[in-house]
Amino acid sequence: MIRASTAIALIAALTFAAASTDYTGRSDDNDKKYKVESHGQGWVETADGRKPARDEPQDRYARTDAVTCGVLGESLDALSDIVTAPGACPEGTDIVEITTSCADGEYALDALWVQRVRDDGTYGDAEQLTEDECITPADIARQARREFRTMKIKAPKATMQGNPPMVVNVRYPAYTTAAPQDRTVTLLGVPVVIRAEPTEFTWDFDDPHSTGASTLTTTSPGRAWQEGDPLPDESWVGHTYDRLGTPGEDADTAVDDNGNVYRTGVGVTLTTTWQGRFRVQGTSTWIDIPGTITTTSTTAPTTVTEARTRLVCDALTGSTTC
Amino acid sequence: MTRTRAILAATSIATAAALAVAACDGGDPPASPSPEPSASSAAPSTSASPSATSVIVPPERPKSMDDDGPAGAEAAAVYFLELDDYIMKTGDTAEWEAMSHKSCEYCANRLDQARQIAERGDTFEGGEAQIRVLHTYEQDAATGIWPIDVEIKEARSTITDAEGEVVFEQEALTSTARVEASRSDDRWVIVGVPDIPES
Repeated sequence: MIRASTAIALIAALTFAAASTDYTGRSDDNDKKYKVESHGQGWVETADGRKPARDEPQDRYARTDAVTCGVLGESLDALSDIVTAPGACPEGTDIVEITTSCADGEYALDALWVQRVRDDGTYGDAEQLTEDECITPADIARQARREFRTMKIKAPKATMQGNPPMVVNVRYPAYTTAAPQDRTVTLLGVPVVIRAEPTEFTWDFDDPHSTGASTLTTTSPGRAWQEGDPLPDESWVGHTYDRLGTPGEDADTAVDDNGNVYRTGVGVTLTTTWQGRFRVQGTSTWIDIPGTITTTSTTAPTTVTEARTRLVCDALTGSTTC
Repeated sequence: MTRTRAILAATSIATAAALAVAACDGGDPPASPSPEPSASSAAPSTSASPSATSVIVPPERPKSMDDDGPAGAEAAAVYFLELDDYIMKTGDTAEWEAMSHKSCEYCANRLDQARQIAERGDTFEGGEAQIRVLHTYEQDAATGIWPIDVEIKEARSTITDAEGEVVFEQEALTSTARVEASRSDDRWVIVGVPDIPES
């Protein structure tokens, strides 16, 4: 008796404790999965208003376990017609569901069925197009490869750190925020996560004049310089502009009123190489997908200028110190 | 596809009264009207009693829901999402339940919350939403489902318990969702409200 009342008290306490935290906003309550794939535009405007884009009935395809009428316990030869409606089995027979058992590491794919549209617009009986199958990881890999090739990877943001105009002989850090991008798809009935991982970064600093190379290929995304860091040197992902070309000869190079050479329209390009991987949902092993995808990111064109050493008081009106 | 609805809430009456008092002082300039098509409209009220009863009007069922094509699907999706704050405020969930398919998790989750608010005697305020259809996809041939992408522009919402303590709070929020609408027994039902899948 005592034990029972303790339990009740405990439940009451739990309920009370939960009271202030268990409400949610509507977007937190969304369904975890969508029910149907979506495509196209659902309607067209006609003179009579909006009409479904596809008014004609379409053949219906579905994957489901084969369900037939039969006598349980008898041999499979006793199976008769495919059941297309509940309660359609003749008397004396049962609905028998045929499922395939697959080996470890393989996945069952239900049989594919179609109900074709008859001339009068009604649907015919379900026809079985394929048997239940066992899907192997190799089958999924082939599909994953195709899925990866068509994956829309968002080009990451590329940043050249430094307030414009940039000046010569300074190492400017270059970095990107590239992060793995995932896409969840269903391949042969198996939910699969396809991941694109950035593996290589090629920077083109648009610098034909300097003594160093204009491009830099690295496996590091680079990082931003922060307060407290040492001044960026050659070990940093980045670039030093040390020559700006010859004014008059090189199109974008010119001289300003103070005699400083500068170059305009300097745009940095980042080419990111993405490696594909996939894993079957519910497993933790990532499997590489052969081939890579590249994306291109650009920075806004900026100006690089020489910074001549000049006494500050040059510019001060009425200065007497210089 | 956006419609406004008149909700006469106790808070807005109190606010209007407060503004009216401020205007009488002749000090501050009157507050400028909200540029949004406001979801709550407060009638000028002479009796500025804070105990003014709130009248919560259910969203109006659009005529276009009689259509069994894409226009009807869109109307049903918008109408259903507009019911959300109504069921939270009133506990009147009959229409919501009638439109919820048994496989719709979102519908069940929101229903649970509406019931819980009513059971505990908590008060839901705000949360009025404007729904805009972003895209309506082709009807799925096998299931008859119309997938519809929508934008949901929600006003700030709070849930307050009987002691007056705020137990849930959400700032004004614009989000998107996929609504899967279908016909069942010649009426529109909502089969699911997932996130819009990444393409």
